[in-house]
Amino acid sequence: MICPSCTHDNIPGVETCEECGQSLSEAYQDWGSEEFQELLTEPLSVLNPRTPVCVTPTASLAEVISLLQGKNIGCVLVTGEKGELVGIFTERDVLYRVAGLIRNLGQITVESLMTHRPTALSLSAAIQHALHLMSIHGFRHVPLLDEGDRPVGFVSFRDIVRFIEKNFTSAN
Amino acid sequence: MSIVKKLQELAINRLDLDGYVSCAPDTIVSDVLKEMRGARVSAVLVEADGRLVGIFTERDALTKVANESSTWSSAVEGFMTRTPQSLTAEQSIGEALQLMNAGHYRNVPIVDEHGHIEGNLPQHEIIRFLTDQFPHDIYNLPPDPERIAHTKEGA
Repeated sequence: MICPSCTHDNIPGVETCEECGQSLSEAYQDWGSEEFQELLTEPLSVLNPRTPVCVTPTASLAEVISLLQGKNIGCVLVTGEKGELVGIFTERDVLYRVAGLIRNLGQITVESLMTHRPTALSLSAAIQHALHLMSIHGFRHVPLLDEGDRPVGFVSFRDIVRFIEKNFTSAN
Repeated sequence: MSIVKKLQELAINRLDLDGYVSCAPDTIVSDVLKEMRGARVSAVLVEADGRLVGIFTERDALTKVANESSTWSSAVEGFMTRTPQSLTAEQSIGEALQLMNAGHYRNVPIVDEHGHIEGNLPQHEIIRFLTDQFPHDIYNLPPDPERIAHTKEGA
């Protein structure tokens, strides 16, 4: 349990922060909203995740970049022979690994620059798990997989922010 | 205070707005890209005479310059979005959230009444704000629902 005052990581269940003495039960009463918490336990499927655009590992950077541009998306998922997820290549990778750095985009495969085996969730995972991954690890896109590890969708930062906004800022 | 009230009442200046990078309009694109990578930011605010005149984002890097190497030595002003939407630090976090969703922005520059840059609000700060409200739920999640583990557990 992270203390909202000093961010000390306490053992779950303690009533006061071991570091600064802040009452944790009171803090959460003040900060929390049951409605919000309930909403975050809903499955990711309620966000209507978008269909992913998938490419093979041997697709060239030129092809992938033109997909990202033309389809107005922020990531492509890279799939193996059985359709299983093997990697992800995002807009951020374009900034960090391509733009201003690589000229011969047709000769480089996406496999060489993608993030291998990205963390993924299932459609039935709770929204809070995706939010957790985004907040703690800074992921902007989380692929969603079926039982055979095949991509069935992905959720982005924006999907969750939009969902939160829709449910909260219009109310009251 | 409920989350709705918080979003409406808490001002943007409660968030960390300092992690931004700015540059002059005549900075060349390859230098801007380098700066973005070095500072780990997804947008650069373009500033002239102390005022915000444009924004160059990761999306611009992808759509306008990534596969056009001839642009890399040109000035960023040719590729930036001019006079981007901005907010003041006194406006509410809820307003920022709405603007980001309506305009599909991932960064909102924060300026004072004269258009001088005071900071940048990246979408990630909003996510951090929201998850900070629920430290117990968000920070202490079990790893089980993740389909693929980053590292194998030790023996």
